[in-house]
Amino acid sequence: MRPVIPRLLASVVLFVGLVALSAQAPVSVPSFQLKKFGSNETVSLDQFGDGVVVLDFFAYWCVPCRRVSTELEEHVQQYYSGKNGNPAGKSVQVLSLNIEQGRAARTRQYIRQTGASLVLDDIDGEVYKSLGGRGIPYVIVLEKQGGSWAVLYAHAGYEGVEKIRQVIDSVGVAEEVPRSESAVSLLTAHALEVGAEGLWADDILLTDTTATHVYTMGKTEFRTSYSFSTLELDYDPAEELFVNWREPANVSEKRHTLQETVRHTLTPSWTLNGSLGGYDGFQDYRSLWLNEFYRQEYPVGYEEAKPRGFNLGAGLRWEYAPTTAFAQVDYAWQTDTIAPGYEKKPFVPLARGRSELDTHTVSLTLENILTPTLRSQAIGFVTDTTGRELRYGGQGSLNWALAENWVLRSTVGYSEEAPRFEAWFVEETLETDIDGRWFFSLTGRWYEDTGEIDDSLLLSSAAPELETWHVGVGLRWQGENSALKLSGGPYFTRYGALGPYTEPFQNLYRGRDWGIVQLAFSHQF
Amino acid sequence: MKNSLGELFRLLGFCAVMKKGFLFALLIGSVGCGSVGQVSISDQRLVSKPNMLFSQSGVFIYQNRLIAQIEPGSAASGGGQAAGCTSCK
Repeated sequence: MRPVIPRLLASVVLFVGLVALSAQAPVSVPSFQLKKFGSNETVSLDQFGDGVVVLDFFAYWCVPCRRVSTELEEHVQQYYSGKNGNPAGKSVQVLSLNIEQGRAARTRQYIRQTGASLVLDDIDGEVYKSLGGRGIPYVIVLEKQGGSWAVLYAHAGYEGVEKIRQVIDSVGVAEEVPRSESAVSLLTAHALEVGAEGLWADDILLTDTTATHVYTMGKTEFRTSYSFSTLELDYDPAEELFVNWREPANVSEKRHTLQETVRHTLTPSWTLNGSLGGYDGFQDYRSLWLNEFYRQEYPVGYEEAKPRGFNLGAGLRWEYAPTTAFAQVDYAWQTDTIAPGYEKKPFVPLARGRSELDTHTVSLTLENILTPTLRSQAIGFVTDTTGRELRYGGQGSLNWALAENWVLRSTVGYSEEAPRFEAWFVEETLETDIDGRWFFSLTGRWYEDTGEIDDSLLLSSAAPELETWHVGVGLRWQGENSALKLSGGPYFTRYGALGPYTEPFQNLYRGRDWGIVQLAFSHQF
Repeated sequence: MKNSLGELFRLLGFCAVMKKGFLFALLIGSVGCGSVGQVSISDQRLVSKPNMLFSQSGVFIYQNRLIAQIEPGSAASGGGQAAGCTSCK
């Protein structure tokens, strides 16, 4: 038998070794000269030979770079300028190196927003490549030792300003000399998002308003979200022979949802996620409709429903290629108290369905940059809910930069559950950048399923097969620290033929023409 | 008009999706491409634009959350979707 496993292990070790070597920054670097951004003035690295130099490689389109450049300017450049250098008196200079030569106006905007004070043009990323750059943000700390520049620190990604200040503070300081303020106060940032959605048909109105506060403190991010939802419907029961107790009614409910998510960066490559939340109220209009039906149908035996739920989750994210690819595993547990169904069989007391459900979900998410114009995300999940078979599902998304100002976002999803439930959806969004601030998008969505599974004997309230489609337009405005989006369009739902014993629900499961509107605003400060 | 749109999306859906094979291929392809080759930073300009990212911000989320109330097979479905039925799944 061929020793396959040892060979495979050796290949893996070799591969990992090669990757590690290729990612390693040089221990010393030669000096370089670069022009200042927007100027012919040349700046040489050797001009700062008496002190410590921090190189910050960036491009205007790099979203995480914004935080890095801002923090390096405020908490390194200005901090050490105010203290006349590090604890040993060494001057500290941050050099922001721009590796993107296109769209100078966007770079100027980036510089203005981040406050970067000394920006150099690294044409075609020559210095970046020579220093082993594999992704941005890329931060290097240099000190001149003898005739060359020694690399004290190099990292693709961002470990936080504390780490960089530790490195700077150690330059020129003997071990026994206490360092000044080696403990750095935690950096904080805030973001606020508000979103509102509406979905309506001739007899149903659904709204959802969500406010989210994102608070970043050092390596930890707290995301607190509160939602207020309303459900209003004109309950219109089906007319049947010899049935005279059903009455139309206006039914409305409110739902409150609170969710907290915490992300903590363990190392530059590993992030730990945790979440908990809960809601109080009906989750969807269908259960509200059915609840009213049971209330009228079984006045004796019906119990008032108080739907609510609680969830707890944890996950681990591994960025296996800096700034390029990550894998994430999540587990979530949810417990729901639902508005149950009722069933009346001849000669048997009214039966109340299950009202407590536990759901366990495990998911795997992979995100990659596949080509210079393609970014992908793949999600696979398995869900286990009380009293049901396992549900398997997946969702794949491809974001494709068709041209400089055109982006196509495609998402397909699938889920299945034994013995016979299958669902598919596909969604396409085409967005164009009009002038760098205004974006226009066109969206199409299609969904189909095989109908819900219901093993009741006499009265089945399970939805028959469903097909939906939606077209919409959107307009987004992107400011320096704020963004606003308005979108909307028609949405059509069509159910298949109702099965036996489903006549009472024909008005619930009828085709509807809906309208959708969505408004979202975000602000960072 | 509505029927034509429905047919168009049905066609797009089946063409693009190709049932489970497409998702499986995407999953494998995603892992493979991410493991084997990396796009150099100088080539990442287009894929780093805000609308090319998979963001949690509502400004960049293009799916409507309320639709999940109607579509039981959307990814957002949880145990609570079975409410109202004696044993809906």
